Amino acid sequence: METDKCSQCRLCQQYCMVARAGGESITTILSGDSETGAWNCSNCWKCVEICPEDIDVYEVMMEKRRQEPAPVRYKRAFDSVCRIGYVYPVDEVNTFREMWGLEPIRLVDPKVVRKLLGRPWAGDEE
Amino acid sequence: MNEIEKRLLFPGCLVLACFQDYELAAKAVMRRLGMELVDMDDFSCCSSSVVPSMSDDWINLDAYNLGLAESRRMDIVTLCGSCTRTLKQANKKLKGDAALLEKVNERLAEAGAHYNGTVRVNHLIEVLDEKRSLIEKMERKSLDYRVALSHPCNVIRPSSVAQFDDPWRPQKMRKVLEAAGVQVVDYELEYECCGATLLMVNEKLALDAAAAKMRSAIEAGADALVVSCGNCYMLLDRFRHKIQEAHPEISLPIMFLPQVLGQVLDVSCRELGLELV
Ligand code: SF4
Ligand code: SF4
Repeated sequence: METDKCSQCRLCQQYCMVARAGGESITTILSGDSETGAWNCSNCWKCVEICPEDIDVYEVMMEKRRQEPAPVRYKRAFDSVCRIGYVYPVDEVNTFREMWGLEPIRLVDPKVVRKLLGRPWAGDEE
Repeated sequence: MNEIEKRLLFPGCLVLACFQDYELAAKAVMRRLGMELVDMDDFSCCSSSVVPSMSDDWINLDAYNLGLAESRRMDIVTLCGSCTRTLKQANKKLKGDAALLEKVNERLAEAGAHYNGTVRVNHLIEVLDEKRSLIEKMERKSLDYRVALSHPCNVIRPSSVAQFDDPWRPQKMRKVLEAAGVQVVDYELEYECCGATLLMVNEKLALDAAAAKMRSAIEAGADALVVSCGNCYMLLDRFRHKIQEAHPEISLPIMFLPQVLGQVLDVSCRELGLELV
């Protein structure tokens, strides 16, 4: 396993803003200092950059997350991607674009996104 | 006459939904530098860190977007950190693994898409850096304010994916602005993460990180903080009222990189999104 290479040097923790603030993150999980915390992350990727054993801390974190229930904001964001094809609400973007003098843009058909994610909804196929 | 260079602008949904001024300014400045940023119809979620957290299938979204660009024969320019990282991550995996590319293409075919692995992805900072010598030669206005920089983590790290700059002390944004004659000040927390993604799980930690960074920039004498990512802007600007609830003394204008550069190159305020039409 990727994590078998971990020497518990805790360098990643020293660079992690969550761990430095006393919290749990993937860096405390890797060194056995906590069981949870994989979602507490600012996406700075200093842990990946600093690891002397070249552990892909990013992949380890994502794999751990996929085995756990997601915090509410992550869940909502993912539901939004499946529903409309994006994280942020886009229903009024072309009105805003016109106000700013930008050309209208054609948005993705959310059915395409659901197909790509292997999560079709009833009615997507007709 | 030379045909103007064109690249496809991947705006990302945050910029699309909230920061039209960033898109407008990026287009105006690149036009001034001889490049047209073309709208990317039908683009989808970049997968962000949201989709990989929930699904193994995240890479299909990025492959779909890369395929869209390939079918239009253009390379991609990005504006945010997360979009840049996921598109580059996917691109690296797909270009280096024929079996994976084939598997991903099976899924893409169901959605009427395809990707061969030929597209290049660059963040706006990288594109501006390519134009640095041109910027130096152009007529420039001097600005009466000094800026500090907030570097977008996801554009810089992991360096194996980003292939961008020094992963600990990135200099490209500074070099671009200095080429334009902008006064850039150093500050202690310049290379710290602003904390924006922590808004998803721990708002207090995000606000504290942002406040510390802004305070550090103010103490160093900056009149404005320059960002080149919608996520950073979201926290540092749109959460200003919350930052100020705990730290009322912190007040610092936040500007997008092309807005500052555009002022130097004498692009109109309207085209820079600094005033509504
Ligand atoms: S990417 Fe997340 S876990 Fe890694 S150092 Fe940054 S905040 Fe910590
Ligand atoms: S830096 Fe690498 S080897 Fe050291 S504790 Fe973190 S994951 Fe393990």
